[in-house]
Amino acid sequence: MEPKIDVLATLEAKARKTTIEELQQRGRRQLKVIRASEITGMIQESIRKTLEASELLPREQVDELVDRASAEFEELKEARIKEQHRAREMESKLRAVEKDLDEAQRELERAQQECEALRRQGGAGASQAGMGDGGASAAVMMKMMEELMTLKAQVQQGAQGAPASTAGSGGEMNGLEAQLSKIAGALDEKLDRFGKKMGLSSAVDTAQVDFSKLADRALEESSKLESNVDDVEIEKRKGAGIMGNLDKIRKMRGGG
Amino acid sequence: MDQERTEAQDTDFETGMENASGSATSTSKLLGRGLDIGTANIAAAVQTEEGGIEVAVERNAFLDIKADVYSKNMLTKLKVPYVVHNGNLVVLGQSAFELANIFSRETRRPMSDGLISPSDVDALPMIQLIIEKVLGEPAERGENCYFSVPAESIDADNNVVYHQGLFEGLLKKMGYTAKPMNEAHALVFAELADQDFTGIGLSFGGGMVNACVSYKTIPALQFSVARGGDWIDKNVAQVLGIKASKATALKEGGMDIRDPKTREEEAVSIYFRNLIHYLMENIQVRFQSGQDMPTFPDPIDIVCSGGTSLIGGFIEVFQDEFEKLDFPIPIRRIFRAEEALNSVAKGCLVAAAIGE
Repeated sequence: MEPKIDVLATLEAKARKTTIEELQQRGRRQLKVIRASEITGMIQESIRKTLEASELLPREQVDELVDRASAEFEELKEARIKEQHRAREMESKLRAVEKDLDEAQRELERAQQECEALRRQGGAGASQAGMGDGGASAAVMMKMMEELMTLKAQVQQGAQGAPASTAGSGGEMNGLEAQLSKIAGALDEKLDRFGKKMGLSSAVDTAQVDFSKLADRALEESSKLESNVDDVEIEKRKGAGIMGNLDKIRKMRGGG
Repeated sequence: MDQERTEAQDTDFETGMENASGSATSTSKLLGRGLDIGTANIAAAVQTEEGGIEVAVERNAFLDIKADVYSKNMLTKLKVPYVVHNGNLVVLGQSAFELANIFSRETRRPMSDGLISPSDVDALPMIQLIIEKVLGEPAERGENCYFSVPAESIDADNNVVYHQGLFEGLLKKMGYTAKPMNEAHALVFAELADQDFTGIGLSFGGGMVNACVSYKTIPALQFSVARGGDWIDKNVAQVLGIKASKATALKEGGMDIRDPKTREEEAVSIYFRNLIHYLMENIQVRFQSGQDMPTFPDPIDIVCSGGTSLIGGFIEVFQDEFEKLDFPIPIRRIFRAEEALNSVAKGCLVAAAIGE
């Protein structure tokens, strides 16, 4: 009778790959080697013998039982293979996102260097031009922010798309999810830092704090006080005029 | 009732403005005012008809004494400014400082560490009275008034927004178009015209030291440290067991920090050196961090101002401390503003007159 359970595939699925160097590092000098097909044969033979020797079941029922077990095993195996595929897909997605992130970070560094160079040029050039450079660098930063936000959205999508963990692969999938969440978190922090640097924030704050009521109160309070302040002369010092300063500023701004 | 009173006051105010405006037109005086709201002093600058400027200064302090008829008559006769507040006589300004020294008491300060004091409930009406006194009414409604504000501190968590908003509100109520200006930036406007407003301004105030790196009028870097003259006074007072007002008087009594003559002067000198070193070290770190640091094609000037910079030997000690650092910008000259107490107000006046 042909084996109903694909023990070989199962063994391969369960097996872990390692290297000789790794085993040497762990102190293994010699290994006993057995073919997977031999293990398969041994397992199948021992199951059949056990069931027949028990004489609890007639031969037909033993075959039926073996068939059922084989089918169940096949299902589990299929599920396991699918999970492995998904895990590999997730890994490749993660690698792609990490690559994109590295690329974005490199671009950001380049942009920051450009900004710095522009600022320095601005320092050597006219002040008005410097203001223009500031505007350009802000645009570059905005673009970088947008790119980072897109990346973050991709990472989060990846994390949400990860399949629910099963008994067999839970640890592995959880690890992937944790890695994706970590990247998303790191992106969050980065975005926040860039935002703050640029005076942006994820919080919506359009209301300006109005302190005029406090000023009113102080004025009202002081106007009620009995005082001789108006009758007292205050110290006044004469100083050099500011016409030179004003002329200079006007000249620098091209106003003659 | 309160509403009626406010409306009545507004009407009086409007009338006052019309009169002031009329007189301003007849003398063709240039408009704009500069106001330096410092922890230790409040100074207001205005242009004179002769082309110079006039700076009105008052110490930003007050002292409450027991109210009785005798004291009140005496203060009135001596022309000492006071207000009656909560049953007490509150002496304002320089007179408060002098009385505090005579009676070995501490003055109350409307501001601490460069900002309006959150712990003194009487701070706001008192400082408002002092500002009204030094600034006066606007020559015409909506006259520009640039007022000094500190930069965010790198070593303290302070609320500059509240401070700025409050004074903006007060000045608007007085009839001005109020605009804030960083005090070290104002210093550059006042003192570095011959350098095309390029250089470093350091304003050594009572509550903090403000720094501004400017390139052709544009501020490239602004920050403050939350230590100033008051920090020196407090520490000297602590180590010598005296009142802080006494330490202030000692500091302002004409000593030279390069050559202290007594134990007290020695303490003042130690803390001055420490303050200068602390500031320069922080400036260096800030520059070396690389962010926001401009590059200058030529060596630039460092200008110092503020009451704390007036002590004898200040610039020499500053230069000593500066030479100990590997400063990342080539410096041409370090000097103190000729009118160190007026500079910030003068710089604010320049900005107000140019209307930027």
